[in-house]
Amino acid sequence: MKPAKAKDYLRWQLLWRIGIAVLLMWLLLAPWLLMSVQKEMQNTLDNRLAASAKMLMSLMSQYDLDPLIKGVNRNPLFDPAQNPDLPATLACKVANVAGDIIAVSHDAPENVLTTTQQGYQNRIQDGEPWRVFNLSQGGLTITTAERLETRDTLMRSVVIAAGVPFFLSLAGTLAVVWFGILHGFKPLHSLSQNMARRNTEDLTALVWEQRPAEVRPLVDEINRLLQRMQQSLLRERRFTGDVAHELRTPLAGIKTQLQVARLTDGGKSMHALLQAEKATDRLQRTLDQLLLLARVEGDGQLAETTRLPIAEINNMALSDVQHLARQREVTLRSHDNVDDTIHASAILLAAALRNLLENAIRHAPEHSVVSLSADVEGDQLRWTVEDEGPGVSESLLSELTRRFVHGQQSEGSGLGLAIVDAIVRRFKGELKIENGQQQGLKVTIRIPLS
Amino acid sequence: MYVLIVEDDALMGEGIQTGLTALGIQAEWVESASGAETAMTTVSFDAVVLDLGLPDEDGMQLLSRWRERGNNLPVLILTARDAIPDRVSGLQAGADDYMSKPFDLTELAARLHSLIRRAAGRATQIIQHGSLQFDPGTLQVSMNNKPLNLSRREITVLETLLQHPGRVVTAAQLQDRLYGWAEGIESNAVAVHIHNLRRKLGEDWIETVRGMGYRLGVVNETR
Repeated sequence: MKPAKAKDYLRWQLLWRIGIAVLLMWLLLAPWLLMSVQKEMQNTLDNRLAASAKMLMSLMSQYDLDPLIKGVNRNPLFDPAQNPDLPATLACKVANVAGDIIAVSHDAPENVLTTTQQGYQNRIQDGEPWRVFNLSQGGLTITTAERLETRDTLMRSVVIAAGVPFFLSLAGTLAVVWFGILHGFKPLHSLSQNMARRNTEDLTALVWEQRPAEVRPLVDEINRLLQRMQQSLLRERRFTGDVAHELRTPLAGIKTQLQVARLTDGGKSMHALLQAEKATDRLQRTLDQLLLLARVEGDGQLAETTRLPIAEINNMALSDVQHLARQREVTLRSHDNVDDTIHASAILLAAALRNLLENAIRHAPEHSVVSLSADVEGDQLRWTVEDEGPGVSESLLSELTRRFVHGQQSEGSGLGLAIVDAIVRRFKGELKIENGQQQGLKVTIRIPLS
Repeated sequence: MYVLIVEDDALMGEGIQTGLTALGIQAEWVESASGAETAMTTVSFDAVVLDLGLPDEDGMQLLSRWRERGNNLPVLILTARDAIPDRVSGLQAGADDYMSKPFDLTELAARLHSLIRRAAGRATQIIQHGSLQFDPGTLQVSMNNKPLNLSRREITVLETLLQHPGRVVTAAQLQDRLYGWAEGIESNAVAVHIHNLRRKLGEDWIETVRGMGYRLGVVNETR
C-alpha cells in the first residue's frame, strides 16, 4: 500500500474545501459590499460638505459684511483652531457677487474654490482631486471643498476594519475544523490500534461506543466479517483435525500390526500382516477420497463437461465396484432404460455413483442385492441406489453428508457422501438420503440434463 | 500385568492386544465405553489403555466418571488427535499418561510398566520380595540373584501375587489374567500353576487362603 499523502487525509481535504469556499464567497460579496459602503460614504460626506456651506451661509448673515469686503482676507472665523465646528479637512471660501473674496480658509486651494457652477463637482489642483460644493444666496457665494484623498483613506480603514475580523474568523473556523476532526477520529485511531494489536487467532468482536455514529455500520460489518472468519477458522481447524485423525488411525493400525508381526510368529504373524494390508487399503481409500474432494471443491480440470450417454456413466461406476461386490458376495442389479445424454463431467458423476454403490455394498448383508436405477423425469436425471442393509438411524441421516461422519463399525473414510454432496451441488442437483420402506438405505440424486 | 484396552478401531484394538500379550502383558479389548464399564465392574485390571474417540461416548467423559467414582486405576490415553488442548484436558480429566497414534508397542508396554510401578509407589521397576526378585520389563524371576526358569503362566501368577503383597488374590482373578475372560479353561488350571510354582520356589512362598484364594507368603529372617 502506498503511504497516504497529506491531501489524502480527510482533515486536509476539509480544511482545503472549507477555506476555498469561504474565501470564494467573501470574494464574491466583497465588491458589492465595498461599492455600497463607498456610495453611502460619498453621500454622507457630500451632505457634510453641503451642510458646512449652509452653516457658513447662516453665520455670514449675522455679520456686517462691508468691512469684510474691504479686504480682511484671512478671517479667524475660518481658523479650525478657533472654530471647532468646521472639519479640519475642509477648505472654504466666501465671496460676493462680484467675485471679491470676503473670507477664505487657511491654505485654501484658490483655483479649486473659484467656480460659478452650483452644487457638487470634482476639481483638480496641482494634480490633487477635490470635491467641491458651491452655494450662492443673497449676494454671497460660499464654496466648500474637501480632498478626495481623505475619503480614500477613510475607505481603506473601513475595508481593514471589515477584513481583519473576517480573516480572523476564517482562521478560527479552520482551526476548529482541524481539532474537531482530530478529536472526532480519536475513536477510529484507537480502533485501528486495537486491530493492529491482534494476532491472527484473535477474532473477537470490536467494541464500539456510540460516537461517531457514522462509523457504526463499518464496525458492525467488520464484526460480522470477524464472526464469519472465526466460523470458517473453526471449520478449517476441525477439518484439519479430522483429516489428521482419519489418516493417523489406519497408519497407527499398520504400524501396530507390523510390530505385532515382528513380535509374534507363525499364524499370528501372518494374520497381523494381513491386517496391516487391510489398514493400508483403508489409508489409500481415505487419501484417494481426500484428493477427490479437494478436486471437486477446487476448480480442477476434472470438471471438464461433455455431453455423453447416461448408460455409459452407469457402466463406468458399475465396473469400478464389481470387484468389491464379488468379494462381499453382493449382487449388483442395474435398471436403466434411458437413451438420454447428460451434459456434465463423466468422471465426477461416475465418482459420485461409485461412492454411493460402494457405501451400499459395504453395508449390505451377504447374498443381498444392491440396485442402481437411472431414469429421466422431465429435464432431470434421477439416479437411485438402494441396498438391503440395516439403514441408518434417523438422527444420523441429516449428518451423513458432513465430512468424517460415519456409522458405527464403518470401514469408510467418512468422506464418501460428502464427496457425492459436493459433486451433486456442483451440477446444481439434489441429494436425498432416506431409509427404505422395509429395510436398507435409499439414496437419490437428481441432476439437470443440461 | 492385566490391562484393559478400550479402542473402537478393530485393527488397533486387536493389534495392541496381541502385541502386549507378546510383550508379556495380558490384555483384554473392548470396543466401546459401555463395554469398558462392564469390564471394569466384573474384572480387576492393573491399568487401562483408553482411546478417546469411542462410538458411544467420549473417552474423556468415561475417564472423568471413573475418577469421580474414586477409581484410581492408572489410565493411559491414546488418541489420533495430538492437539495440545486435547492433551491438557486429557491429563486434567485424570489421565496418567498420553500417547498419540501411531506409536511404538514396546514404548506403550514400557509406559504401562512405569505407570503401574508409580501407582504401587515403587521407586524401581524391579519388585523385590525377600530374596525373590522380579523384573516386569524382562519377565525375569530370580532368587538370591540366581535366575529361575519359570513358564509364562507361572510368571503371570507370581507377578499378580507380587503386585498385591499381603492381599488375597482369588482363583478367578488369576484365571482372568492367565487365559483372558473369553477363553473357557478347566477349573483346576490355576491350582496346577500354583503347585508348579511352589515346587520351583519352595512351599512357603504362596499361602492358600481356604475358600478365598492365594496370598504371597510373609518374608521372615530364615529366607
